[in-house]
Amino acid sequence: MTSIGWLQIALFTIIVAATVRPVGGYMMRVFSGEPTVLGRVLGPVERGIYRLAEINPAAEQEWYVYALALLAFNAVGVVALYALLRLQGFLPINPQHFEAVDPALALNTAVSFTTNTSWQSYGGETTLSFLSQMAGITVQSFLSAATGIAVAIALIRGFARRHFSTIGNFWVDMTRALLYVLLPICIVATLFLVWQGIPQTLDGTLGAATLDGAQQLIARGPVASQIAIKLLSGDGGGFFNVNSAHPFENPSALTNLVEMLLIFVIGAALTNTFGRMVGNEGHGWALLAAMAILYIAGVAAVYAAEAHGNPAFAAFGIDQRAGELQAGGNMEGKEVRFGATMSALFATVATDSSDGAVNAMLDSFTPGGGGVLMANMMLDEVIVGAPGSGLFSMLLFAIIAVFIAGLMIGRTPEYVGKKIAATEVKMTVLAILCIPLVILALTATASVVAAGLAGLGNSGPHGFSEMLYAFTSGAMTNGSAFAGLSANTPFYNLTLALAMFVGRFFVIVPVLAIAGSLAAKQVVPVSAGTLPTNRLLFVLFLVGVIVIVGGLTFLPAVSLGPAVEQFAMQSGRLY
Amino acid sequence: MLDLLMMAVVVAAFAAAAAYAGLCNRLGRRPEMPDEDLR
Repeated sequence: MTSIGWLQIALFTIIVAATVRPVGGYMMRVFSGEPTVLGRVLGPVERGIYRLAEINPAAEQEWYVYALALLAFNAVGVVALYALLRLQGFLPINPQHFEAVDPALALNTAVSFTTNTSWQSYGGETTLSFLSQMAGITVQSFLSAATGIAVAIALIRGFARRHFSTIGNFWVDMTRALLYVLLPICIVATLFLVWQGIPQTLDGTLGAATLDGAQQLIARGPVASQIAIKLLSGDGGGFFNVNSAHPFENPSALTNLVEMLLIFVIGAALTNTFGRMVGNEGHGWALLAAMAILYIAGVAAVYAAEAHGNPAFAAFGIDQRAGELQAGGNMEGKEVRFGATMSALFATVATDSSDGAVNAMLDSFTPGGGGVLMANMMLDEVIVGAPGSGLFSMLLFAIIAVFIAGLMIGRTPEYVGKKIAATEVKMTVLAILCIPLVILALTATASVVAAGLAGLGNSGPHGFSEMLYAFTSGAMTNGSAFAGLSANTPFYNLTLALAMFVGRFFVIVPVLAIAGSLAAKQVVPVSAGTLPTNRLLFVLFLVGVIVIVGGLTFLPAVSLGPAVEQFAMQSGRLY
Repeated sequence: MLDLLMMAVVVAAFAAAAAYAGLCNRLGRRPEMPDEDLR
């Protein structure tokens, strides 16, 4: 580890922290219907959309109606993307003349991008037409991010409102998230990425002669516009197979910094939006502080593991020390231009935030480093998370935390002035338990059936880690992979689609139920017995609850994979 | 044929999610304990 490495991590963290208040305040104004700087330009567009779609923006919905609208909208999204992928061979803007995508792969991809996961069992530049990339993958990245933001805003309203039977209007929340938040940031980010050298063209592959006189095909296409939303949405689905490790997806140190910032910006700022909408920014800062503790612990652990390197390399005379000519550490699967530091930071940010983007090959991380990335996801998207889903997942744990605190002192739990009763706790438990259930059940199944074992690129504990990582990534809607696993098989395409579907919609539904239940309640005045939930004590308690719940759920599985592999590596045995 | 099967899977999955929402709605409507401190 080097001081310049720590300085880079600190600089990135400070920049993210500086964006929280302005972006959080802006989103609060957007979703509260207050005037914004973009209102003059986008207001007529927004009203035009409502007229065209016959939406009455003043008509609010009960949680159940809100949830059904969300499910119907996403069902149409899955079917539309599936149809696009299956018909791409007959459709225009396909300069490489790609044929239809296989049915199981098309289903996996359609569910993946509708659920904001972006698990990719395909290589983008060798499988999808430009139309599929633009009208399918990119559009669903926008829509799935807006869906997550809408759910988070509905839950915030549940906490902020008193005696309401409604939690907002799904169509209005979607429209505002797209028009006022995602599109403006993406337009600016796309122009920046084009300036930095990322292609944005509808021309097909380019032929080039190498120095040896051979012909090489260089893939390109409408890359920049897809990369901006892949990062901002917490989606992570790259244009190219190797994602942000490709020079056309991440050409410079500056784009690397901005890409990480795009991944974190909305998820971090939504904590401030929450604080403002419930009338006390301190509650938002408390949630962000809990996220920050877990983020810093994670990045420190991954950086330490990767900078320390692989002791087995010493036998081959490989020098892993940092010096003037090399960044040092475990450089297998990493870009020389990013080194162990920026690879560790990018991977931590991406697994914290449920964004599947990578700038290094995660399967080549040390078992300890890769294990921490897996653990980041296993903590249920609470460390910043994808837009919206990070905040509502953290609020689920806040409910569990106040419930446990209430049990300790025999008092009905409260959170931001709302009593947490049986309904909220039941819904929270449903939302939190369905994800580990699907991860562990599917990993166990894949471990014993021939179809599951057939895809493994490695044996022993590393092979188990590849399967565990895949189902964790799917159910936690991350999308990154230990790419030693060949997942483009009917078994993995269908089981991962199931994991992604359950991990997304079987969490969102109870979250909206909590929103509906809370919105109907009165606010309880603060008393001497109220647990302050905007103080350091609660932050530490919340972190403890998250770690204990995650540990109790996943420690046995992690022990069989990355933990045992780390000890094996230290004794000189590799898998 | 496979396409029809895949679409049937999608419809069944979303129908299950809608039924799950119905279950959550029923659970939420059950009468709760009086809203007062347990002590």
